[in-house]
Amino acid sequence: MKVIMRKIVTVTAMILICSVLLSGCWDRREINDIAFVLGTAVDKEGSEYRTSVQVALPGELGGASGKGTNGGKGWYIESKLGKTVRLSTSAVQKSNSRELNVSTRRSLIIGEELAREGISSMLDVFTRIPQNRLLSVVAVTEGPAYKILDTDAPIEPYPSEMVRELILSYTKKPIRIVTLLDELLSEGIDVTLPIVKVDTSVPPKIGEAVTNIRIDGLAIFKGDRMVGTLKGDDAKMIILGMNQNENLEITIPSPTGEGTLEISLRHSKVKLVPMIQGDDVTMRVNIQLVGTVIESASDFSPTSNMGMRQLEESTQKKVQSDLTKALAVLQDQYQSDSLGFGQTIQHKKPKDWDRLKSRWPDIYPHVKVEIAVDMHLETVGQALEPMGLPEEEIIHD
Amino acid sequence: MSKSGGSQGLISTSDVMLGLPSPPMEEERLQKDLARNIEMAKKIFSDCSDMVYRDIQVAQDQNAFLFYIEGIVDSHEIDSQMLKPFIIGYVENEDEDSVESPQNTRVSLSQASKASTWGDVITAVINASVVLLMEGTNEAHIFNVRGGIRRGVEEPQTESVIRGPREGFTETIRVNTALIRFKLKTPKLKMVSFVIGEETKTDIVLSYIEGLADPKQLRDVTKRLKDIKIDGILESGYIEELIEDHPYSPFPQMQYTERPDTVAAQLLEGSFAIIVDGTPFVLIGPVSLWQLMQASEDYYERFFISNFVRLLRYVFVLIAIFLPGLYIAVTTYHQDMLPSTLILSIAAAREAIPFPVLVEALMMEVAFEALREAGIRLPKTVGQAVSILGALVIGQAAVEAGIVSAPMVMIVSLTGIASFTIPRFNLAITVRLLRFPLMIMAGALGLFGIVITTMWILVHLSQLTSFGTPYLEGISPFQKKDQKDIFVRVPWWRMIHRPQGMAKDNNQRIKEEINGTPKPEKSW
Repeated sequence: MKVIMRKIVTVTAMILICSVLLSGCWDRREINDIAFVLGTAVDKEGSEYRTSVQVALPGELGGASGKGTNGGKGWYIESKLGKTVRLSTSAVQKSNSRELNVSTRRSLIIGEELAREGISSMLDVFTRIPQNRLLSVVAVTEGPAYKILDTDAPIEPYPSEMVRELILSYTKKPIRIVTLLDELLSEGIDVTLPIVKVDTSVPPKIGEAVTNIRIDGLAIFKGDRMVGTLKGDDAKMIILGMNQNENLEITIPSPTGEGTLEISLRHSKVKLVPMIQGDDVTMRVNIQLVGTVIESASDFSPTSNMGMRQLEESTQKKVQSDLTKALAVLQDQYQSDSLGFGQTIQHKKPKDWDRLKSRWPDIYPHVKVEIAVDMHLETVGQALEPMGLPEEEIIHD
Repeated sequence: MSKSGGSQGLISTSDVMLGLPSPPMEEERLQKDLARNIEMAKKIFSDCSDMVYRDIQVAQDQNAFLFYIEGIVDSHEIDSQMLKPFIIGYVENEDEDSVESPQNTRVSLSQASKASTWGDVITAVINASVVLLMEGTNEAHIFNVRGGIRRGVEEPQTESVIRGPREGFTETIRVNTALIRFKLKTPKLKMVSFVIGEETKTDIVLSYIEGLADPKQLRDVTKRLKDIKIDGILESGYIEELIEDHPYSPFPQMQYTERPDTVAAQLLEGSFAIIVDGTPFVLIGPVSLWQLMQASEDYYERFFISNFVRLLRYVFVLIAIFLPGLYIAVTTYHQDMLPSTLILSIAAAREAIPFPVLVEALMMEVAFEALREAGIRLPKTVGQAVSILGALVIGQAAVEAGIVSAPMVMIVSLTGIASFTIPRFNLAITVRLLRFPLMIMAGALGLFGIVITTMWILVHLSQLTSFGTPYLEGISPFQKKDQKDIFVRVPWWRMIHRPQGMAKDNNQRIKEEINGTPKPEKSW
């Protein structure tokens, strides 16, 4: 009896141990069997999607073991065509000995052609698998997207990381897949995505130029389709209007008439106040700015309150006129509600929004915009008077 | 009893030849004949080269015989307090009655007694007494002159503190009981004596404070101690294993300490202590897991520091148990759990490593344990060098050779350091042991395996008891009043109650309850 009991216990224990130790390892995946996807670029070529993935080469990436000094890149790009994004990704997987792991994706870059055809359908594959990180940042390129992935971007370990860092510092709340989805699905607001562009570090004539990435304005969407771009000051102003300003630098003429001053606006706050009478919508844009003088290429010396007030006034004027101009482009040319006028009405005057909702695309271009800027110049920097000018030439206010 | 009968029943000739006399029956009485007694004593202790025999004359015509074991008695004491009075007394003594009245009246030793059986005589001799046999009496005079050189009171080697008493227990049981008595000056401190071990006859003292310790528990312990039948007790570890509730549990169910202050503190909380002769380690029970996480210094430093240190300790215990397992699970199954940059640097470090993470981890952990063990066993001077060299050279060299990844070396060393933050070495060893099943389960089932193993440990802990007291007392079963001294240590003026599970009858520690903080009188 005792012997039988002992046998039963032994067999049971053996079965338990075996089932734990043998069954467990079936989905074991060593880190060496994984290809880490750092960034993805999606393009449309004709009727097919091209997915380009940037895959890390951990051996070259450096890290603790002190390797990666042989000058090799820490990544390579693999690009395949397919009928859908998923099929093209599968094609990439087929030619890769390691399993693709997308949880490390830093940025998603969308080509212009695809963006203009609409991004809704392709976004699904970036959200469905739980491995995907919805916090990857999203950017658009003019032209094919995979070129961004193939830059040198020497300051970061890989270009996809550089795109991410650039976008993170571009706006207050950077656009990630999750925010993009949110804006796509919300009423009364249109998506804007930053445009990234390949740049060279120095003009080709001097020395060896390396390719770099920079942000070059905004891609304006209407619905899920890209309708156009905003560049330069227009893009900056729209970002300010969207309350996303991180650091805006504007140039104002010197009150004395000679030269210019550069003002850095580090803090800004925008409030939209809708005023509705029938179908007549007026949107009041209240902007609060706090800034400092960062360059004075003039002979003006703002040593008193009066002088600072003069600078504040000209900044206000400049912002007002620039923003008006930029908004006009949005309203007239692209008819894209990037600032979310519709959403503001929905939030603040929901009854009016119910009435206007169905006709909003028609109403939006005719919305009157009133811009009120309240600028506070905090400091003029470390130097009061223009450095490099003799005392006699400086004009005090 | 007749003389012949006595000698026949005592020792057979063959036993003497072998030099292995079987001990006489306890009831065997002493004879009036001194010569026979001397012969008897010499037979019993034959081949004992450490015996000292001496013939003396205590009175006119009265021969006496003195014997003791050299080394364990204080021979200076014998010379000045025993022999001198005898020799001087021999000259002065005119009184014939003194043959019957014991000579010890003139011997200036405080502990003296008589014995009439050989069993008592033997017990006395091996317990460092001097036995005096006299012509014409069938009683032996026994003088306790315990002495001999043993280690003095020194700073405890295993439990050093920055602030706190520096004295530690020694190998002498009486010194140890005295050290406790110095701290607890109350007749309520009881010291119940046991002698365990057929050959070692080890003195064991069960100490407790009357009115604080649970009488039921004490009865239980007394019974368990009395039930021990073993040839020898050389260390308190023998006792611990022989009386604990769950001999198959990896968790220690008794605490041991070298510090009298720790024992005193635990006695004051209603625990009992078992002091074993020949070892500086005193056992304390019952214990809870939380008690094993407390260092004596927690109570001596100001409570801010104590709380910080205690919190740190708990964090590091978790690290010591879970870190290698978590690392294995995350790197073999759940790579997407880590931030991208972190997983990339781990991947970069692991790129050239030939082994799976589990193998790598087991290899390093075992190597670490071996290094630790070697460091302890080697002579102190060499040991230090070995551990430093081992850790540095093997770690560094293994990484550079591409056998082991740098993150693994970090994990292993962090885990090692973490396990050393546990104040009780026996719990630290347990934690280090439990790490291995966790690592294997993490390698087999990932986080799922860690959860399963953790559940198993928790279930085991909750059914564990130490002398009937739940091992997680305070948390499970939950005691609100005990929260003051588990994860935090409240200031002393808030330590109003003793732990709830123990000292049930006399729970109030601070009799006059202080309201809020102490308010010293301000005179400035």
